[in-house]
Amino acid sequence: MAEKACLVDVTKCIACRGCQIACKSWNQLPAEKTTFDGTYENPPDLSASTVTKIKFREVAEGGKVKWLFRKVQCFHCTDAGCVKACPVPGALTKLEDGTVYLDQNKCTGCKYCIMNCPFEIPRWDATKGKAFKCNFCYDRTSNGLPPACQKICVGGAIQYGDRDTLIAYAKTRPGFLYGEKELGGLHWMYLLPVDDPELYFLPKEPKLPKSLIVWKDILKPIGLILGGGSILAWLGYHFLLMPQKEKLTKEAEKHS
Amino acid sequence: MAERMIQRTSVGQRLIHWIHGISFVILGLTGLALFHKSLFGLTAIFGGVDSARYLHRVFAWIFTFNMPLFIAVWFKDCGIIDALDRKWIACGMGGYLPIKSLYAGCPPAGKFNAGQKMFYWTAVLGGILFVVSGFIIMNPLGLAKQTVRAAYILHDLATICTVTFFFAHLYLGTLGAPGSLRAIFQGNVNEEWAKHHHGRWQIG
Repeated sequence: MAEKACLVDVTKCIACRGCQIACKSWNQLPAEKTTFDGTYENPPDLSASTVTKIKFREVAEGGKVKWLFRKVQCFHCTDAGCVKACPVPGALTKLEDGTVYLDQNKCTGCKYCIMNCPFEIPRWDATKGKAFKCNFCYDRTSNGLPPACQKICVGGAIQYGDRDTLIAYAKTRPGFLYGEKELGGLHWMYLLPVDDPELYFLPKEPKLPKSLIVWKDILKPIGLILGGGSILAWLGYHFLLMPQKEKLTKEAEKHS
Repeated sequence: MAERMIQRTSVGQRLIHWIHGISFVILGLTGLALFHKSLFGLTAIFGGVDSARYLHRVFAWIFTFNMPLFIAVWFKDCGIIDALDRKWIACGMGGYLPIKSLYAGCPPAGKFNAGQKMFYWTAVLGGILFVVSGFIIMNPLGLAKQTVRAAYILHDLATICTVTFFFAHLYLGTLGAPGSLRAIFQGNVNEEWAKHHHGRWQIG
């Protein structure tokens, strides 16, 4: 199966936030009580009921104000920190189309994914006691439909399709492509007008936490070998070395 | 001929040992279920992952409150590793590593041998590590991510050290040294056993 992805041309985004509404509508996520704090950006942050939103940045350029917008949601990384961190089989899964699916029915609420996502995407749902994030509208995409946010996008800023096709298209366009190589390849990619992704709240070189690699790829295998090995070692000891130990100590007792 | 039995452990020592031991095993089984995906099947013992995690948190409190008592009641017997203990270690762990040249002139063990004392310190230091990192892992939201990630690693390190050593404890308390199991159930051992395993023990 070909890998699917979304490509966002941020220059086409007008920050209408239709995607935020479409996402809540399709995924039946409740609205949030919020406050007005002098910005159109709202709600202020992602949450378990707001899994996509537009982030705003005001930049002064030649005495004029420039407004930058970027849609925020799970990046669906190839090397996904959340999938690596999750201890429950099937709770966080890398699907065939390259997207990352969080199954809340299996999630046990340990928060390992929240602590190990390089983009701080999964959020805590206090009422359910589980984590949640964008699931790339799995119920739509698995039936050949685009994700709800893409479907609604009035500016045509979001394209959905085969990842390879989108990358090939992006390379014909002026601008900077974010997400082709990052973390093994993201499944939400961005076409930026400048080559400074941090201007758009995108980390320059996103990396998995080193502690996650140490924890999962080094400590865990060592633990299994030492723990399991210790059981076998003592069984072996009992039959091979214990008789010799007894002989040695009994002899010493005789001489004393 | 009736064997002379010698008191080895107090009621308090045994009670606190078993509170520690039972909570350690339950914490171990519920925790190892999430240690690695290959051990996830252990959750079935407890009726699923959610109840296993719930039990882990309940026994975490029992383990935590018992820890200071555990340190206190076993310190006098097991806390001090003296010069003769170090010599005992150098002699191939008092002969447990049966190498004749090393064993020559090995001092007999005291009331507890240096291996047992090392296990005491593994349990104490590992236990403290478990408690500190465990409460961070239990309530990670709002803490610095570096702190929480370090806690994941420390909790696993404590697991690896204590579980690996635990199997040695299990073996040496049963099959490895027949007659020693009485010491932690009835509290006494027979004199022959004491002389054989703990020659330096001043029986008062």
